[in-house]
Amino acid sequence: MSRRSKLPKIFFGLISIVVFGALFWQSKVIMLRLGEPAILTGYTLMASMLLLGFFNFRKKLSMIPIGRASTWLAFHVVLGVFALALFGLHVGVFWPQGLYEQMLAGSFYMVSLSGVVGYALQRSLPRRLTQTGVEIIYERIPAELAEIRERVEALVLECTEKSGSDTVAQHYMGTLNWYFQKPRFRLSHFVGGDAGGYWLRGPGGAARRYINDVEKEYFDQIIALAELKSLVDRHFVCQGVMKKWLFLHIPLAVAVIALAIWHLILVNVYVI
Amino acid sequence: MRSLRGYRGRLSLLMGAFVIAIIAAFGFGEDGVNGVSAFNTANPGDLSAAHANFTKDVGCAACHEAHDKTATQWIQAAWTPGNLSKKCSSCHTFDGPAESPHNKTFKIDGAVAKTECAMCHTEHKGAGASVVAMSDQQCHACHEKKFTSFSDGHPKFSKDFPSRRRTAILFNHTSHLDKHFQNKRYVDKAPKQRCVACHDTALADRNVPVRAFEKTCAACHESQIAKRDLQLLTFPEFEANPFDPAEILAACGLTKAAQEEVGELSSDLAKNLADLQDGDGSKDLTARVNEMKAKLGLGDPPTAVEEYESVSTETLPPLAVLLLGVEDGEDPESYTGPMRDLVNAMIESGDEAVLELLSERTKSAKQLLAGMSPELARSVACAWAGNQEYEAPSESSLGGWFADELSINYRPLRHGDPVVRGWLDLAVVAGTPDDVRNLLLSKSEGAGACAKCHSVSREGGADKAVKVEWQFGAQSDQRHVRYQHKPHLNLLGLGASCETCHTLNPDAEYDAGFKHIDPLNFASNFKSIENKTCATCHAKDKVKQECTLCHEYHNDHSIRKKVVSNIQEK
Repeated sequence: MSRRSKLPKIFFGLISIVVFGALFWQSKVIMLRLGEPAILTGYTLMASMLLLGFFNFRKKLSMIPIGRASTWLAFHVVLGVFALALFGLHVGVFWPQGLYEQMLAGSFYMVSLSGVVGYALQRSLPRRLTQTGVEIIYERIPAELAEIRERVEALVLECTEKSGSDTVAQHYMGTLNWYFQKPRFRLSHFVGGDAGGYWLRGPGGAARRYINDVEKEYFDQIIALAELKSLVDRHFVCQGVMKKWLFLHIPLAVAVIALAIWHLILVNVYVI
Repeated sequence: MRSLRGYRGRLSLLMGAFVIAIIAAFGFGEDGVNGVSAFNTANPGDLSAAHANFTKDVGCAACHEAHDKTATQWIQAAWTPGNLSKKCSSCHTFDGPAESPHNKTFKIDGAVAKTECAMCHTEHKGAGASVVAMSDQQCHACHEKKFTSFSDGHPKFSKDFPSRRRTAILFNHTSHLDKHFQNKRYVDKAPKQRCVACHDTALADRNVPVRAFEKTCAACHESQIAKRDLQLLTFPEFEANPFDPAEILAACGLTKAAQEEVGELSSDLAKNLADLQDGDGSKDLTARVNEMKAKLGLGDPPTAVEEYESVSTETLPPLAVLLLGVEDGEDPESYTGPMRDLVNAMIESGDEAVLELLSERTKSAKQLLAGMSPELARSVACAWAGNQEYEAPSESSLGGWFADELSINYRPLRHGDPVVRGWLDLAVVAGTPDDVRNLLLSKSEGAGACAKCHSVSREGGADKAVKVEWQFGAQSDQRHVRYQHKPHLNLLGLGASCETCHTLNPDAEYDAGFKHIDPLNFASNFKSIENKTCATCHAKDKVKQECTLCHEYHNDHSIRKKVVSNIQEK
């Protein structure tokens, strides 16, 4: 990461630390005046959560020039950490007493955790995908996989015709066909393993020792396509995870905001 | 085909709708049993055990007015400051306003912010949570003098601490412990165990109460009680006989003296009859008969002042002046009529006449005359109406109401005699004549010698009543300080260990503090306890020393009887 890309995080981070410090100090002051610091921290936390939620809308409003996406991401990440700390200050305990408050806290922790995990994925997976040397748009991957499969099947037919032997065809039907049907070894791709390559070197390439030279020429092309498919699989899995973790993060964030709004109403009606 | 972003958006909407559905379904849920079990979005946690029972009937509305109200009322409530403190005060009572710091025990200059219960007390933290647990920081929120801990910076205890007023009983500890019992006459009665000879450590609590009078003071002071009679009434000197002899004779019969005369008169009568029979005219029979009638009390009343010689030369005592409502107990013109009426009424109705008269002066007349015999009152009245001294059939030795020649008196039966207590209580009532008050409260002459030890005090301003302090009063009337003697006694050991903290101050002018009725103007028998004495143990890394260990915020906190009875019913 370049120094330039770190600047927004440092900037927002410093501001957050100052604001949190001020809130912490002010909470103590309020407490020592026998006031209720949860009012200050609660309203600030509510505002923080709404700002965090606005990040999702900003993505939909990309046509409006309201700052760079990376700056917004930095703001979102820092504000998320700030909100987590503020939540601790507001609640005072890790796990509150009331069932509703427990739902709220549980949802908040899940949003925070999904945010942290998602951010970690966003930081690590692209680097791994860059190392593949392949660039594919996520939505194009199914078509790309189908195209690879068609090319492999064409090579198998041609090999049978040219060599007069069906060894490669038999191997394809018995073993390789499974591999080319859809993305395989997803967990391995997600965690950065090479189970696909290991499989190709093992069961996938086992027929090579039984074929003649003509067949070997075709077989090597098929294995090369299989290796390409492995890279495409990696893209499919990693890009999918990078897109799908938001299926957890955003709906949970919506739930937290809805729960918090009701909590705010109850506090104002019942207590303050 | 919908994009991932589209699916995500739809899922987010579903999640939001799910939350709203949960709130709609359970947001206004049941209160649950004891406010504990039901899922109610408004319930932020279980109530403390102390409060759980109170919500049983009315649920959350017991404290939260907005509960179960309409949407409009909710909106109003959201914009209206909460009034939880008012709800707390519907059960909790204090000696002073609930919303004032320390329930307004202390005089504070300037404006003071209103206090709310929730400033210190937090509920819904679970059944096992303490609602009353406080931190030292909470105390420091208001107190200007801030310090680290008791052993480090706590202000010095007040002068004469822990005494804030004089003792209820005038008991000079210094002279009793170190002077009186040095005298050979009393050395055998000296308290060998010093403090605990009188203070009962078995009952030690905030104070160590004194044992009963009979077990302590009586050995030396009991005999003084019966020596001080209360004189209610005397038969005063009259310039002329105010009574009608015929009426008195009819009501009382012959006086005792007249009955004695009958013996002499019978011989005179026989002699006169013999003279009459002999026709001896040397004697004026009319004069003789008149002389006999006079002796029998049957003659016409003396018409000239000089003919009447009062048997008494007394004046009316202060209590009689009060009783009769006369202006001057030394002026016969002032008291003759009322006294005649009283004596006549006593002849007719005995002690009822005195009771009736005293009832006009005080509501406690029955107590003041308790034990007075109707026969005593009537006999005394008959004797006095006949211008005779009353002769008691026997001398009173047990105490109670008795009469001697020319007075009716009361002798205290024992310590705590209710009749004498009643008269002393009357003495301090506003409007009681000074001479009555001075007589009854005289240390040297007062009835029962009560005032010798029991102080007379008025606490809390001129508008408060003056009262005789009959009970051994609590010395430490510091409502925001709590202290338990018992654990300290057990720790330090019984007996002389009291003097570890309570050191006698031989220079204190203790007795001078009882020459007036202001109990706050006093000198303690003891030197003020010093912080360092307590800090010997209550210090960092030793015994705990937080503010609430010794201080109580509220002033005389209690629960309304209605609430307590409701709980008992449940």
